[in-house]
Amino acid sequence: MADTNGHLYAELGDLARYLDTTLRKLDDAGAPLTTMSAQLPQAATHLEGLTKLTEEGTHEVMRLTEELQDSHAIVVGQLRKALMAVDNNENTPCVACLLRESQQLVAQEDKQLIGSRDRLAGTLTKVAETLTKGQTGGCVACTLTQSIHSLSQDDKRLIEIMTALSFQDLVAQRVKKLTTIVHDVERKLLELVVVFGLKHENATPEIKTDATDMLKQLKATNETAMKQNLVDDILGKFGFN
Amino acid sequence: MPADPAMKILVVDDMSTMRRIVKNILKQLGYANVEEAENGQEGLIKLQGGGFGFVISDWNMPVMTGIDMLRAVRADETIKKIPVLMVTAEAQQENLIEAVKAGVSNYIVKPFTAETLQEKINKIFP
Repeated sequence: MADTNGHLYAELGDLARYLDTTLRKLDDAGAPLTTMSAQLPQAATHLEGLTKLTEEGTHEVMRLTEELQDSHAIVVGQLRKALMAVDNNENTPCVACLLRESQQLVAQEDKQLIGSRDRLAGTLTKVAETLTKGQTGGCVACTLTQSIHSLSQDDKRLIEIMTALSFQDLVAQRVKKLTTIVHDVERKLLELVVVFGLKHENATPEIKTDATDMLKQLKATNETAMKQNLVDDILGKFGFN
Repeated sequence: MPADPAMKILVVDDMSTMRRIVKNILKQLGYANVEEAENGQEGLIKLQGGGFGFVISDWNMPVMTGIDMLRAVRADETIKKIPVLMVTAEAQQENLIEAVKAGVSNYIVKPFTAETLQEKINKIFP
């Protein structure tokens, strides 16, 4: 019986020493833990900044893309003017037919989006060559040549560029998930700061009451980002500035 | 019945870039009467205001998600017949099943092309 009691006493002593060592280690971990808590809001801010920067950049590319699309609309207007000019010239009926065909292709293309770009360019080239060879309509040929050039330069991949910019939305969604994780880690670290603060031998009853309120507030922020003043209050209350 | 180019379309997405992309593609397809909403709640209020013939909505949005808006639309007698196309990064099978159960008209996974959007619109308005 005496041996059993002695063994138990020794085990309890070991356990007490183990607990004491563990608590000391936890105390040592307090400072880096708090530093991390203080740095996490900065990490979240950087992530949010990343979303904003990519959003601004994407809008700028979109603005330029839309300008090119507007330019395409002007080109189509020029082709229609050319058609009217050729329509008034009785000596060039076949050219008028070709231009009508071009106009129809443009109209179809507007509906079908991508469709018959190459056929359109080919037809317009034919029109320009015909007009250049003829005695009349030289300036119309110039207009058409410019239009062909603009179409070939500007128009082919505008829609693809526009849709490719949806990468920004996907990036922003992932950044949002990362921000949520950072806020969650921050919340958990602050809970640890409060809990360890309560265990500290110098914790006054006033601090204990405040800490309990803070824990409640932390739990209430589970679904939202924490307010900076709550973070500062918690760190300040437990001696971290 | 083929889609009327003059019909009013609502684009619901919390990302301004996505709203602009969808609006731009719709314009190229011939649909110029497009309005925007930043989340499901704002979208629902606009839809209840009347006049819309088609909705293109994201799934993940703050305040009210796209799927919740879809359920609210289908539960509202005055707007329940409006076709709703979900455009979302949620590509899991269970998401699709959830959307179908909620009454989605069709479903596009991001990133998507203009051709895909046109194809889906053609299926909704044959």
